[in-house]
Amino acid sequence: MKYTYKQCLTDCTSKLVQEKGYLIIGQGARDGGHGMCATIEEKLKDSCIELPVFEETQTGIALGMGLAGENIISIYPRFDFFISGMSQLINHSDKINLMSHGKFKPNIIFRVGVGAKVPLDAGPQHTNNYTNQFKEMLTWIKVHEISKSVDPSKIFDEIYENGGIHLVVEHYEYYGDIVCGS
Amino acid sequence: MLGLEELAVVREVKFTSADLKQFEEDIAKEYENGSIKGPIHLSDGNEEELIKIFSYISSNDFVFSAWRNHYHALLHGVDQKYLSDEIREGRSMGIMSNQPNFFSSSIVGGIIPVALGTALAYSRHENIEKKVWCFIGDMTYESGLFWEAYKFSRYHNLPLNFIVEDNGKSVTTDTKVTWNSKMEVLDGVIWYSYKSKFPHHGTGKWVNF
Repeated sequence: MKYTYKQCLTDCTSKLVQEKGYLIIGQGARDGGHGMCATIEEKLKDSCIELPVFEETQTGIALGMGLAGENIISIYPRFDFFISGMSQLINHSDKINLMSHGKFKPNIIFRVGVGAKVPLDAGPQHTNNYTNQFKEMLTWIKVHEISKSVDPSKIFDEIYENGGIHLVVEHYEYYGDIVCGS
Repeated sequence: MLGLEELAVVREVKFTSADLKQFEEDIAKEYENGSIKGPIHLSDGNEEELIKIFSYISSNDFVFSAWRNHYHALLHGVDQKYLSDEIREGRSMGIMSNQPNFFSSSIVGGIIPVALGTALAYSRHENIEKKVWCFIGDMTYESGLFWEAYKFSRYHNLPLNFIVEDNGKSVTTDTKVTWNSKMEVLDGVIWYSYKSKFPHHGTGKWVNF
């Protein structure tokens, strides 16, 4: 059976929502409209919260909901957009364990897409990948880049088991590829 | 003070104005002795206002504050010894607690989206009657982050209350001069003005560490 990168992301997302109660928040979470939405199954719609375009606020909302006990998948269709939420990510989510002495233990996944350059090149504001820069800046949040040779399910299995805060970077260019191990 | 009209008293506040002042005076002395190895932002002049506001805040509610947070933490029930120890360890600007729920940050406006998220989470559960209270200064009140959160919370009827503590400035920058105006008090926003004897940071005396 062919098991694509996109199908794997879809199944991993559904498993987290259905078995761990994760909520999906962000633009397109419920209403669709960008590539990542193709990995959110229709049956999950009741667990999706469509938000306005306000990435910094969205990133803070994810933490705030996490503090209240909700498990959150916060989606961003482009890394270029996600950087608008950097202050919340770096100054709050990444510092929450240190500043609260581990008293707050939110479970949050920041799912970020890297825009494709083929067959269409989306240009200088829609295709950047800042994973390495974020790895250098983040001290607590675990950063996972799902490159061509990585099976997404292994990353999501770790998140499923351990929770915590994770930045997961995915590439639209690989959505049709067959993932390792399938 | 504005915006308290529809609130109900839910708590008997155990601190007096004198208690609060004494706490900050004790911290000020320790700071001037050089024994606190981090910045402190002391409160003064708003004791009565805060005692009244906290009588409307349940101990089960979630309180968000900024760098000048000692009064808020004490009044919400954060353990006094824990608070003092945190301040002594240089962590005055980011006090956090999960019993009771208290989150503070030294990023201007940064608490607003987080408070919004907590209110959004509470609103999803009919059996949760908790509220969220977000204390901000007058400069933060003018920010875009506030506007986004205010609009979203009002349009979605979220249990989020903003309290604007107006001392007319951000650090030493005059809010009204920089904006060339000042925003009116919006519906549902609690607002009061005050003057503190303390500067933005420290006590006003030079400290040799």
